[in-house]
Amino acid sequence: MRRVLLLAAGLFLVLALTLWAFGLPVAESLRHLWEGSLAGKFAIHRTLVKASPLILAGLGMVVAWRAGMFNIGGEGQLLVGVAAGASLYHAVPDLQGPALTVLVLAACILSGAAWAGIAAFLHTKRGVNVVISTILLNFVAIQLISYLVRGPLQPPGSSIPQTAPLPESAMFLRLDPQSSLHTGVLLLPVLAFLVHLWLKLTPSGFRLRLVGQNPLAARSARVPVARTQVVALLVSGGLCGLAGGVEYVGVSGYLFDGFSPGWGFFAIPVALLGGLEAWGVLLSGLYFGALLAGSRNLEAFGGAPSALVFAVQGVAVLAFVAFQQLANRRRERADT
Amino acid sequence: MGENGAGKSTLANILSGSLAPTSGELILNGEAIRFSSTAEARDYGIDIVHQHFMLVPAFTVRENLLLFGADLNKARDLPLDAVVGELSVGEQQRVEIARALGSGGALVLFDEPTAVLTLEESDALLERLRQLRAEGRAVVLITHRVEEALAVADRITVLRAGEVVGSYGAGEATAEELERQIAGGQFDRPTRSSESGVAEDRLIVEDLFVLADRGHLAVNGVSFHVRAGEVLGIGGVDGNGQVELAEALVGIRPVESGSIRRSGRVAYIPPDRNRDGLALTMSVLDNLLIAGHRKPALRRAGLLLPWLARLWAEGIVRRFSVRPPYLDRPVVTLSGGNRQKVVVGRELDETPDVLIAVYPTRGLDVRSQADVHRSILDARAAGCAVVVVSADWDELNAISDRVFVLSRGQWREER
Repeated sequence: MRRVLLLAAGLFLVLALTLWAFGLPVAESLRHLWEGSLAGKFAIHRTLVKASPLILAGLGMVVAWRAGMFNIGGEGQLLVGVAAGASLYHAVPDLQGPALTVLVLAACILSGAAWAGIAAFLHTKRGVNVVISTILLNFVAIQLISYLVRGPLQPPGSSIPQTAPLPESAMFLRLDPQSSLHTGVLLLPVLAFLVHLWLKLTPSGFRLRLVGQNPLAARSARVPVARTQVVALLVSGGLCGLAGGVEYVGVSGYLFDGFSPGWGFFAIPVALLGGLEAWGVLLSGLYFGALLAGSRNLEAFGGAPSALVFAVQGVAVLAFVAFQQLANRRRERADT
Repeated sequence: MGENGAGKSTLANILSGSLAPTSGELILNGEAIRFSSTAEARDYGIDIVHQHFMLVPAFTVRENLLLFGADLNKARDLPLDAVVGELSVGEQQRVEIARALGSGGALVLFDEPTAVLTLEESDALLERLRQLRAEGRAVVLITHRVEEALAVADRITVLRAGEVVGSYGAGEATAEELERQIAGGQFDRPTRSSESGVAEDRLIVEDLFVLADRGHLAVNGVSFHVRAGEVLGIGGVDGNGQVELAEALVGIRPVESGSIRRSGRVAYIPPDRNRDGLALTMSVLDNLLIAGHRKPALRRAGLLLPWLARLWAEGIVRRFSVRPPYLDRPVVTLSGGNRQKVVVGRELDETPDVLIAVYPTRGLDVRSQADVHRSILDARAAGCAVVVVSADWDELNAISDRVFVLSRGQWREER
């Protein structure tokens, strides 16, 4: 608990320092951020919606990284997920309502997993480094989306590079038409809880963490190392696919170039700041969701560049990792 | 000399510059010296052969030797183009020794160099120490093996709990005296009870061929069987297929041809606790759960419940006297002997039907060795079929009913 409070204070400091470094009036900018993210019902709704893909993909990162599979391909898995969802709707345009929602989300999850599966296959069969394969698959996915929205998935007669919007009946429910909040947000605590339960309290979750900490010890204990790593990557890809799906079914309803502002990349620092814990991802995802929501307000009224969020995130993660190293070294010294 | 945790390695680390003394001073050739890094210690002419190898596993032997400025001419007998990480532990040790000796300092410190060597290799090493002495270098040897110290040392100092408890000139001390000083009093050596009579075969191996990582044949047509209540010892020079055979017996290395029939639960004590026995960054509890997480008794509705796990783990820590008895500490904070107790405790907590133990007492002091031997013999008495791989003949003779030697993957009966 003390660590979480310290971390929150540290993040606030980092934010203020970054604003200052950008030459912005700190107090006024913080007010804009606050008003855009947490002041009032609509702002909080915005924060929750922005946090959704971050948290889901962040949970995906936790699963893979805990198994020692450094998945950097969340962005690609997320995009391919949405592409599969959009393709499904394109293939059966007559489908309506919750059935379509469920099918689209299933397509997102399965194809996100399949995209990660390519990296898993290359790793187990050919020994290809997961970091490299997942990074490269991102670029393939980004180009693939670019092609799809201008080609096969572009509605006939349309000149705008985007897919046909999902029918309103297939979108997540919105309780208030004024607000962007959708029922998909309910998935966040549920999935965070499930990931926590799996990793912390089940035998298979224990084996996954063991493989991540020392695959040789896992092998001695007759844990199927390769299979565990593959499962971790598939689940990770599936969660990233779902992250895209929730945005697709909850917010935009169609796929376009630049659909993701980099959620799949954002997810990595979200997971790291969350200490690779499911509940930590919930907190850090909300923080960055708030920052994303607030920064739009800051951009509109305070004249800040949108790159600010990226800068804050970068500085925050670097500071966090540096402090962690420092704490580790101090602990080591105390032990010897 | 001294037990695990007596302060030997700490002292070695101070002498080699990787740890600063809290107080006191070091005097080299009549001059008080102070250094704050291993590089400075090397500049003073202090070389150290570490217990844990200071080698780059991804580099070849040649690259490692060049990196540390060693003389390649003196390392002709080593496989210079082999990648260090692919060598056996014994071979790596020889590279480590060549690395440290090559730079030619005035003082050479050996931190338990023979712990991983066979008797023949150890003899060769002791001969090398005598050579170094003849060349006029000062040699400090840290060892658990009383007979080695007696064979080679001009002076023997015994440490216990960080203090000098005895110092002897050559010929002054007997083996019994040293052992008593090291252990701080009497302790019982476990003894093997007589044959437990005719019992069923638990492990039957027929015409077994197994490949090593590098693709060559490591086990070359081996057949044997082990009965319940019997200890089969496997000796021989390290790197002759022992580890590959053990891994095949456990079922974590594919069998090229031939058959292995095991009955019941197979427990496994792997060759290198730090490399493939433990997850050093994880807690003592988690490292016990490496075996325990499969126990149905620790689960309710498929979930591994923390309080059940803790209760079970506390029992093991107590029975195998793991010290300090804290479940939440990372296992890396434990001494070598206590780390091994974690491995042995989790594997032998319930008597397995078959136990495969590879170098089970490597790097342990006499008392910890006796503890491990007692656990293995207890398992034997309870009807476990045991295979022990060791490079230590005293160990094999002490606990085995039969001893075989593996030489280039082939079988030779000794006794």
